[in-house]
Amino acid sequence: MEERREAPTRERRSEEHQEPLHPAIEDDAEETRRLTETWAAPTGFVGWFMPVNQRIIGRRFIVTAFVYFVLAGLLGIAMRLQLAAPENDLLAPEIYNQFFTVHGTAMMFLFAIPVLEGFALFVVPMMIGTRDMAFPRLNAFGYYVYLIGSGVFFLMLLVGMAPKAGWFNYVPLSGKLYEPGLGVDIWTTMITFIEVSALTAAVELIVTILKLRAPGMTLNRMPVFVWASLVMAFMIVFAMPAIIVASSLLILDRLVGTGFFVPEMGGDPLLWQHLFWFFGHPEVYIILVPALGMVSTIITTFCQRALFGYTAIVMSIVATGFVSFGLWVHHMFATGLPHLGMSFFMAASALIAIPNGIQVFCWIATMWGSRMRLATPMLYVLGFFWVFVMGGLTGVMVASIPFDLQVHDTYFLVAHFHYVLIGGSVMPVIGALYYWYPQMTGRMMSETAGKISFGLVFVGFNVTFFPMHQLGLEGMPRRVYTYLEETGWGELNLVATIGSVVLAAGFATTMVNALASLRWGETARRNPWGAETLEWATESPPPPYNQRHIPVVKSREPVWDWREEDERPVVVGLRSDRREVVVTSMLDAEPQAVQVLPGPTIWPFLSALAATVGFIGILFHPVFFVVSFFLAFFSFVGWFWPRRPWQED
Amino acid sequence: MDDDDDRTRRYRTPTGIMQLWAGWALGPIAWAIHQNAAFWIIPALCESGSRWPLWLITAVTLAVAVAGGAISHRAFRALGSRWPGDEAGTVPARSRFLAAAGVGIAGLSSLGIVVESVGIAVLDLCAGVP
Repeated sequence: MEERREAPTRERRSEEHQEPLHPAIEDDAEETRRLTETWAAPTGFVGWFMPVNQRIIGRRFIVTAFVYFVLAGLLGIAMRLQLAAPENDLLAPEIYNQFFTVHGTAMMFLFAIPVLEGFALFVVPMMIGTRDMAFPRLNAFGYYVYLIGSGVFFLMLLVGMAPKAGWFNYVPLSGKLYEPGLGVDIWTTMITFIEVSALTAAVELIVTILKLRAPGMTLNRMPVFVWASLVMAFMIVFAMPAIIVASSLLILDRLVGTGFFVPEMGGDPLLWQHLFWFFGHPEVYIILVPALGMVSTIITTFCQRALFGYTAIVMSIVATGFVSFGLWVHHMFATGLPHLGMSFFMAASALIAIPNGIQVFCWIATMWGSRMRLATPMLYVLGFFWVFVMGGLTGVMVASIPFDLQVHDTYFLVAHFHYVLIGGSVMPVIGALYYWYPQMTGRMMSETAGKISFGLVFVGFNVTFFPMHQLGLEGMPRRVYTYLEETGWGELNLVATIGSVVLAAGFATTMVNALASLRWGETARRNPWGAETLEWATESPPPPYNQRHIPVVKSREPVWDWREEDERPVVVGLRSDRREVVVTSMLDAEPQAVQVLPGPTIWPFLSALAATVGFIGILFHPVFFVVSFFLAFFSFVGWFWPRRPWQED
Repeated sequence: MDDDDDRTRRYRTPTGIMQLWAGWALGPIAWAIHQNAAFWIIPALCESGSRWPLWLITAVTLAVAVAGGAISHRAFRALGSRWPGDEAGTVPARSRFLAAAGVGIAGLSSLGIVVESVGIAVLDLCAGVP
């Protein structure tokens, strides 16, 4: 078995102490100044549209995603208030339907995926010891696409034109007959648009992780969060095309009059469900897998001990990624498919508990006997354990076809997937926010407010969603805007609503804490948590070039190595007057070449605008497709305009 | 040391690297083929009343998944059967890691095929077929 490595306990000589370089290496101040200039992002209004640095783009993803988290959360609160009492008339049925559609869509597409991608974009390059993503301009393009697509989608709610067919948009409910107007049209085009952004981030992450790792960071030394981000990226590449195809077919049915999902025209409504859930189920794991990486990272740091069963955890994460693509039919157990065929998916749905169970046991083994620090990130991880395991248990229950048929479309399912999604993803994400906040802002978030926030979230969450299991077992259907008093569901619904207010207060505490700490937070010292990974091997916040020297890695805990050996091995020879990074081999991270990255430019933003013209305009007239094509062509010409040979930047 | 030099040479070659990835690739691919092929073939089999194509799919895909795991396991043994760490000597260390994970992934895939095939033995072939 693996040796259990504890963090070195040698006292720091000073708060800002950094282990020295080899005596032969000089840290020239002039070089450092030039490096800062080379990697600096433009400022000013126009400058806002130009940066390509990974930390800026990642931070923007995270901030924007949290804005949608708040907005979609407010919609959730409004729905809970409507359901607090039987026959309530706070929200009209039309509005309620719009709210639950936008709540689900925004939480999944506008918050969950972007926030996790944002964390990956922000953290991964620093964690693997490089200075930016492999394609910085594509990174910026992805963000503007997300910003524009999500903004247009959410604006539809404000003008009362949001879709009402649920985040899953089942046909025929989402067909023209039952859902006239622009709502579903906007949903299909904007979701496709936003998924383009997800795909760009995924491609970037794959190439960056496989080719830009610091020398010495072989595959078996990659931090678990990097592994999780890599698996997430591959899952996005394989899952997103399904929803893009489904959305495209639906918009063709609605705008052109094709009949892909219309039985009278030879189509099949179940085709939508197959395509949607072939994306939709991996989607759950796309947002879970990086959260597993966050949990592993936080546990290692706050237990000050190397992760137990690294190989088993990586294997489990990879296996979870694979198996998640074989579960989609369990969303369709009530649609009348062959029983034997459904049994295959029942088996696979139960099987996925194995890799997830392996991870939980490895984390417990890491924590066992350690001197755990119960700081806020760790509290959120402990909360994750309870909530996620609960969600996993009910997941195994609903994987069973007879049980699933009993609780199908009831509040039991609402309880189950909130336990999985909030427990499995949101709690680790909030923990990660507290954890990496010093690297984002140079300040610490308030620990007191963090602990209050955790208490409110944990209690509020369980009070909100636990009663929903019982409501589901009593037969309360989901997606209803009200219920009769005689059903007897009023009390539990009231409890759930009170819990949701407490839960919202918990999240609000974190949001206020994050904003207030920007100004009043304690200044973060170098590596404030005593972590072992490379994103902490620099100042908080890091300079524009991330690290003054690209490090050389000798184990899975490089920063702890340096503390032990009191020396930092680094790469020398990169130029400071242009954006250079080291390209290394895929398996063994052996240096192969130097890549010169492009600098800031406005072209990715203009390209995103050009694409927007096509995506939105096509809803009104096909000519916009042609207009957009040419606009995009010209913007890409500007984007890829070759550097002049005598200009080396 | 000589052993490690040999291993370094061997697991830098394309053949050696393919052996390490065998469990990672063959296991999940076999499992995916089993699940999808068996799922989509059921309506046709219901008409004929024959189950043997399902058993054939199961046998072939299980063999492929097990073979993937076996290739990885062989590589793992050739690398000294030690539990992978992050020790120095990068190629043998990362090879041990890839081989061990490959055995696990192929094992889980094989288990998936076996568990899924239980239904073939006990469930009515035509139940629920439209």
